[in-house]
Amino acid sequence: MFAFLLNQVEGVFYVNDALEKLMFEELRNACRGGGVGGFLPAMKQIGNVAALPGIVHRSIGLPDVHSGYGFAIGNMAAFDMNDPEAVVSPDALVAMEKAMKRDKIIVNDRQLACARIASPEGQDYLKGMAAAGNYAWVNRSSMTFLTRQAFAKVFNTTPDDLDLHVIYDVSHNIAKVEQHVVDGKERTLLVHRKGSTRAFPPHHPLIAVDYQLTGQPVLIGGTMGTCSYVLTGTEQGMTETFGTTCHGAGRALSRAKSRRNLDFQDVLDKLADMGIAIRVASPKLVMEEAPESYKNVTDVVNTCHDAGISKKAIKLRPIAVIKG
Amino acid sequence: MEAARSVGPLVVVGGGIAGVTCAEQLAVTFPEEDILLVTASPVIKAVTNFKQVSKVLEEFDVEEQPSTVLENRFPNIKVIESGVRQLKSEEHCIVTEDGRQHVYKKLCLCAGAKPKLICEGNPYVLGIRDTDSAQEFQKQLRKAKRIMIVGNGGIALELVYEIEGCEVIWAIKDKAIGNTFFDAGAAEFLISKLMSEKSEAKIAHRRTIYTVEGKCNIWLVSFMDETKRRAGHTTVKTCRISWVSRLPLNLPHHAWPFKCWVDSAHLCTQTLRGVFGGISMLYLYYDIHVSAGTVWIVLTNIHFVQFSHSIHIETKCEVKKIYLQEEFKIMKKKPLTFPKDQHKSVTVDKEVWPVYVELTNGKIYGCDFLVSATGVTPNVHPFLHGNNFDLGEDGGLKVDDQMRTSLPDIYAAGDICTACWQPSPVWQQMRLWTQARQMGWYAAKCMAAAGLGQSSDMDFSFELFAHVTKFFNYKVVLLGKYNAQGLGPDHELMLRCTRGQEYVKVVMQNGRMMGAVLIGETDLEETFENLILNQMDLSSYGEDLLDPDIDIEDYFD
Repeated sequence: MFAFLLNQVEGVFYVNDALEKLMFEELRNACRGGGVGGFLPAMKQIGNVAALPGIVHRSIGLPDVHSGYGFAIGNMAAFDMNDPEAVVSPDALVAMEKAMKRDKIIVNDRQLACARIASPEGQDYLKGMAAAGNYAWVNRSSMTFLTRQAFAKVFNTTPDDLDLHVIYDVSHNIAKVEQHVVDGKERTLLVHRKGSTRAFPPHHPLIAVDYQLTGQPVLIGGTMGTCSYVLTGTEQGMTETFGTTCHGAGRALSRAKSRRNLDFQDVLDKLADMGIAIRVASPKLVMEEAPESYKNVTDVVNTCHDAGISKKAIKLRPIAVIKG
Repeated sequence: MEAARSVGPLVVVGGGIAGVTCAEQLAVTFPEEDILLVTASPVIKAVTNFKQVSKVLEEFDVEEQPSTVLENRFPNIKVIESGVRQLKSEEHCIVTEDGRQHVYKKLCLCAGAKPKLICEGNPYVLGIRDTDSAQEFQKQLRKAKRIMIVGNGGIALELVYEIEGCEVIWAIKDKAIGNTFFDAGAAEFLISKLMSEKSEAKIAHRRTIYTVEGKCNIWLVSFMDETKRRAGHTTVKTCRISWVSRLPLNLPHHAWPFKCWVDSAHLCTQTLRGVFGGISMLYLYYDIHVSAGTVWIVLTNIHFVQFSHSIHIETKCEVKKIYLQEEFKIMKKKPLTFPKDQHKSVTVDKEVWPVYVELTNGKIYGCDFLVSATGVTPNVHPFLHGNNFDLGEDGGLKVDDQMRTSLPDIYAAGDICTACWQPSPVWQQMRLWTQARQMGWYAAKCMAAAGLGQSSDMDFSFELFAHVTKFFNYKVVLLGKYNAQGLGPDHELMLRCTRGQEYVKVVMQNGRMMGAVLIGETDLEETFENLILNQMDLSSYGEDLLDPDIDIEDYFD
């Protein structure tokens, strides 16, 4: 049973003209298909998140926002840790579903399973997430180490002589407890960043000494063949998005993959013998007219820059792409 | 009683993947202890180029190495090259063929399985299980014009695709090919690749066979001493060139035409212009054990024609009887020719073959030899006498979730064992190299834990069945209950297929993913692995889950 909650806060997303077209296209297609359940368009997901209990300020979609499980990828949402209603929302876990029933939490989208931050499930989840974060950090450190060794071996020198050091290490999918100023008061918030990057401005105490003057570096990887960027955090970003910016080019509905001729009648005939129900995937006819729906990293980065939530610093051209 | 038994080394029987992995793991865990590896063959199998593709998917190569390599890497491993004649479980010792007795503290049996031969003792019936038999097979294949393959498992599938330049009659007892691995739909998808008249231009074959037509010059070029000697000049009508790597061929004093596969694509692309003025050439690398070092044989002036497959499939039949040439002459039965096309126009075969096979559907074909790929049977025989092992229905040694057999201090891993623990709902035992490795490793872990009086937690690789392989040059990934094994009628399938490119089949039960078959470069294996492991309710997505327009990998990331 669904009660449609009115939003607690506004849902906002940042776009330029090109990206705006893509967002609305996605929404239009979803509505045409009668889209209930399944793959929700990002706009709708931003709205659903905006209705979560305890959310503060806004549910924000960065320019590269696109549909994802639970939260849209590129969605930021902050929850007041001191609000007893506030939730942490990891996605559908069985424990969460139990907690929601018990604590009477209603959401617009089943995928947005969550628990009160202070509840045992919420606390357990935060601990689990911290463990996962550590694991990921160790993993990245190991990869860095091995990369340095590999280069050293090939060039027959040491990693330090090659000046190979980590510029910055940041995660795109994590919820962090941070201090932010909201309505003039300093509050402790649980900031959910899914597919978005933390971008603190210059002089922020939490960033390393080396970057105190410039602000936190934000590494935006493009895709194969496109440019990548290094951005920095800004003061405006702190107030508008709690120090959050995009994380890369957003994949909307990638048409590249659907250039197929789905032709399988023979195969279907053979399978039909088994008497088991078979469903067949086929791209919806509407998609045939849709334009290239790929969010370009340059559009995304420029939009962030123009909106003032991060500043472009360096543009990088790819020399080689290694796919593993 | 137990205290008196805890002397002696840890003994592993079997030099295959399971045995070697177990021995290595034991050697690493117990650097102070002696590990004995008993193997009947002079070479052992080693895993090389191991790559963890995703959480449970692994890729690796299997190489044969002399046992000294293992002993060098692990000084506490000693390899005994002898088969096992008898196992005396009460006394905790094994007796090897060479008459020696070896006492063990703990024993792990990894003696594998052997091919079920449809007919024992017939020299024209070959089974392929390992590289020994594969080499024998290749030797026979070089001279063959037509062979028959009986069986429908992984080995048969691989063979059928790999063999070129030879007629193949494939007899299967099922309705569709690849029964153990695929359903009828995937089989249909693969068959179209197999039966196509022209091979696609850009297949990255490991081996390619070329036909040389017309006159061709043959040169011997040695890069060591820069001499070019003209070796011969031959008029070749149809010289099939197929070459088995690493088998030294004696130099061209005997029968031209000779057969050799060109072993890697880059050899052919060294069709250099310039040296011989733009004439297309084929360099064949020969490793000739003479003092001249390496010698190249160069064929110039050749005209390449690529073979396609010549395969005819007989379904729903088994082998009724096999006749040798002499017997068959007396029988006066009528053998059929190789059906050249899809039409039923078969005629009586005038050619004489060394062996004739009568199938249960009444057809008779002559051929050079027959390959029996009908499955394997666990090698338990040497260990049974005098010991009361619990055996599984398939004849293997039953093992529990600590890889223990029913007898104390005896473990088993790999093809010889039958897993009898309560399996995860998305895992099943299959006699594959990947499982042999996982089991060997896990058995060693359990043996170590038992030594400390502890038990082991089931290894993660047994949570989800996962296997990645190549069939018909397609990447094939099998996950979980990929053929809805044991799910009964209460499940449904989701399918996405593009002829010649990819085949995606997902098994769903109660809205959750239970298994998947992915053929081709789908990039879906990691996402599906996760969805099967976390059993997320996917019913709201319906068949949109496989919508190619939606980047599902990114969505669930």
